[in-house]
Amino acid sequence: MIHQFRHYLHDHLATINSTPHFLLAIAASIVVFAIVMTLLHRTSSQFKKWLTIVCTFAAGLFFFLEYVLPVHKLKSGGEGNVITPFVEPVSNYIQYVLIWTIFLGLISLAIVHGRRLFQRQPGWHNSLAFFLAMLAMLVTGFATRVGVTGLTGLKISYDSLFSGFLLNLDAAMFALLAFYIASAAYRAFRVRTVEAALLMISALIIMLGFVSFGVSLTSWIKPHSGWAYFRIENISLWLLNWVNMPGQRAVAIGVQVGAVAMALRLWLSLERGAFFSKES
Amino acid sequence: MLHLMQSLDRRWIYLILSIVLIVALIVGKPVKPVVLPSVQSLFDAVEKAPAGPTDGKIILVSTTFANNTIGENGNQARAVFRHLMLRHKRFAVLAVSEPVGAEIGRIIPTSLAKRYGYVYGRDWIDFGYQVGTLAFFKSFPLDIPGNVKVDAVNHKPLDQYEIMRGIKTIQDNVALHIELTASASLFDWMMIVQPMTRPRLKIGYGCTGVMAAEAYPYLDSGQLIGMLPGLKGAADYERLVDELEMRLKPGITADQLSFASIPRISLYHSARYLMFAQNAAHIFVILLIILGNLGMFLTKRQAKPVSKEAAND
Repeated sequence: MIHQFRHYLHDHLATINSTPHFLLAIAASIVVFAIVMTLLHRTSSQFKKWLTIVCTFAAGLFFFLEYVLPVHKLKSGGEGNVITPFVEPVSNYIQYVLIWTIFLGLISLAIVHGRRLFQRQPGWHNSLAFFLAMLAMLVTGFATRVGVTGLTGLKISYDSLFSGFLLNLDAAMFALLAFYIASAAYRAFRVRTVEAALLMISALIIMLGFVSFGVSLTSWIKPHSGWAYFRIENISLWLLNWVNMPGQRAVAIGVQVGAVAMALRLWLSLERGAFFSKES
Repeated sequence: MLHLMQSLDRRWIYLILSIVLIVALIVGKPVKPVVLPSVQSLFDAVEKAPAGPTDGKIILVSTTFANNTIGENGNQARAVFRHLMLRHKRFAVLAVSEPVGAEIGRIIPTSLAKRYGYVYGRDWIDFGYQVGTLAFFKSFPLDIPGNVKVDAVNHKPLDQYEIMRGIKTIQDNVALHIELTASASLFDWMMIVQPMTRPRLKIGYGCTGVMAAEAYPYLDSGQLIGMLPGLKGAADYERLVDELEMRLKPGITADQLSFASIPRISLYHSARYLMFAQNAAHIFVILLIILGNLGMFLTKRQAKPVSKEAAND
């Protein structure tokens, strides 16, 4: 099993040179990271604030310039400008940050549930279920990925957990929406105003246009006759294409204009979040 | 009575809806839906896509969804994969930023492959999970093997597979991209990948029912070649594929198609079958809306004379 694990790591880290130099580079990176973080931790709030502003502006400027600078043929293939080759390493950096957040999430969950479990606080059995489920998926999933031979039970367990358990539980949770929608539709679709009447009629036509029963209501109208426009499925499509679509376009344009304004505020650090208000 | 019509307890609604759904799933039959134009467009695009064994192109299918929308996206995926396999179109599956989708994208074609005589590595390949960074979307279209490196099933370099011979860029080697998703991943393909290709990459879209309305502008602009809206889209597409299968295999009967030959307990193997239950639920919701409004109108009618008398007093 250990041999298979080493083989798996070798296969998946094949692109990295696993020599002593590589290990030394990793160790050095960790030391440098620790030193930088310690130094940053000792700086004043004002300094941290300005550092955040400068980094945010520099990151925004990088992607902005990459987008607006004129493009030409690149040696590596494709088109781009002087910044384009650096997009990949910079974007990869985002992934490194995300990976750290997964670790932080796991640590946070372990602390919260571990405390509840060991102190036997109310709901401790839910915390136990959390640890058991995480452990089961980790062990069986990893064993399946590595391809441990002789442990077919683990493979079967993983399939049972994923296809038989997680898949159905997840789908069932989402399916509960149907019940809430039915209840909400019953309470919300009341014809109290003209607007509410329009909304309800539109909703009913679109619902009927999507179900066989609704379509059968007007199926006596011949599909290629002049009256075919009045078939429920055609009225439904007309509503989607001629009423819904311009509305969606208007909303999309409005949202995007708002997004540009919001992006500018974030880029120029005009948007003050909880961090700055707490620090200052 | 009028009060009850207007304010039916939600627990009764849940109970009746449960009974409606259970009965519909037990006694239901596959429906024969009227095919939406957007579904027909995607079907036609797949039919025309030059992705046969000698065309030098493949079709990309993204399964960017998780278990929670498998009822809609999973059935869309099954119908699309069946169509690709029936027409012997070569395809690659990937899931960008959705690890569970990568798993589902492997399970569905694997379960269909034997029936349609599809061989992994020759007729289809699994690119697996890909991290959806800006860098990925910018570099993947220019160098597919360079970005994916190894397949997700055997973890071997892509050039070891027959299907990947000569496959390099989206511009030259991808005939069609089908995005089956429950997230906003479509916009990455439309905003980053599509403008990098001339003529523009054809994109088909399979989404959940609630996401369909906002995609209509992109159908109109031609950025999307076709769309499968929710379970209805899956059922429409399944109907077209079933009819095609019966045409291509003259001996086959409706009973031998996937939706009829499975035990009733395995519900999610047919969108047309599930659509029967959805129809029943929709009719129930429509009846509820009518009931609520009827109660409101009758109450108002009763209240009017009383208020006049009160005004006279």
